[in-house]
Amino acid sequence: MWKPILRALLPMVLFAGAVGLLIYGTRFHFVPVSHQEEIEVSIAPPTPFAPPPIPGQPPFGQPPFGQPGEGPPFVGPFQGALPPFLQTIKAKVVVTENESEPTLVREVTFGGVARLSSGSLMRTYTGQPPSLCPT
Amino acid sequence: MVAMTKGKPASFAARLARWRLWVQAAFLLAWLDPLMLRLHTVCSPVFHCYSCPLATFACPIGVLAQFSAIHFFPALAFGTLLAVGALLGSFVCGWICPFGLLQDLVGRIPTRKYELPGWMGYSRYVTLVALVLAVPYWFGEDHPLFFCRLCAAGALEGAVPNMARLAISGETVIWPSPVKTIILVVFAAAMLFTWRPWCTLFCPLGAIYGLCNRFSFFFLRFRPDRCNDCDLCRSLCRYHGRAQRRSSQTQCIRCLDCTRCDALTLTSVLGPLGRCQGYPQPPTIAQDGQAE
Repeated sequence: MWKPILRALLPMVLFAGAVGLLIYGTRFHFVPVSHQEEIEVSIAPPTPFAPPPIPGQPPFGQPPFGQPGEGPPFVGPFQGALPPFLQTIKAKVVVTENESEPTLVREVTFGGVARLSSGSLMRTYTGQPPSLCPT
Repeated sequence: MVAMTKGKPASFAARLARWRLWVQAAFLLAWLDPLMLRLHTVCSPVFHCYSCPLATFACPIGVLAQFSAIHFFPALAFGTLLAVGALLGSFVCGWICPFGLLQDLVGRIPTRKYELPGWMGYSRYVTLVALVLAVPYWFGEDHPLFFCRLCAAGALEGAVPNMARLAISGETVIWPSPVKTIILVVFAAAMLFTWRPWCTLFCPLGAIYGLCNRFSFFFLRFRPDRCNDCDLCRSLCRYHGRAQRRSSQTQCIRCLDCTRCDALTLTSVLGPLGRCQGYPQPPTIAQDGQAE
């Protein structure tokens, strides 16, 4: 008696489980994927170094053994040649984003994601994705 | 004693079987991306390489292998295969798969066809476990035994069209690996001499759907009360005599050719499909030994 009922229920239960998996994969399954991004970094001009005064010692910028006003004025390490404007350099940084599983499915179709020895995922390209599968 | 009588209307399944080639062709259109949608975020339920310039969806086996290589559970691919498998089982192989259609068409070339031994069907499970799951998991996608590096469907649908495209556009042609090319040539030649060699020997997707035959919503039901051991079902089955009179036969592609025999009917778990009005039941033997 139970065999036909089980036979009828099993595909329905499995189908429902499969639909649950599809919903989970589409909506809730995210995978952290790192990728290199080229960014521009602005370097601010360095500020003069001014450590706090040490008790019993003359203030910074004055000769240690002499009266104030004697000899040439002491120049700090950067006080002589400050850069006239902000410097900008290009640097590559690793950014990690959570990608949804559908996006990851598309990425793997052209070999766009590789697993590092550390276990994390890394995107294999920057900019436009490759058009051909590596295999 | 033959359970087939001329002039009787065929059963629903037998009538449906006549449309199989047309159904396969219609599905082929869907897989070949006529609207250029390129929905590669979605897994298809069939064996169609995503490297094909005309692939609408992602290949589920390729996604399984790639996700195995990156050590993540492929919920979408697994869910797609389980949903379709629980509903249809290996009807997908016989009615929907484009690579199956290709093998059917090549198989129609009139050459002598040889039967492969039934036990060779288990090699599909070796392919599934070893090449799709284990090798990618342990050695990554760069290993020469990674499934996509051996896949004949990938060579035919992905590598060949892309080579042609590069050659036509004047760019440097990227040749596929020799191993992949040899496998494609071997299977293309084998298609001439046996029905569906890829499905029988190598297809991991067919292995999954074959397992689903044991519990799918639609299935072939064998009715022993209608069987008179005439072996008609086996003689009708082109796929190595796979009609084994069991609904859970894993090598059956459910082409429904065997349903011309009345002992095999297309059924769902909720009941038979269509009115079974096919060939007559075998004569029963009365107690006095006379056929009724």
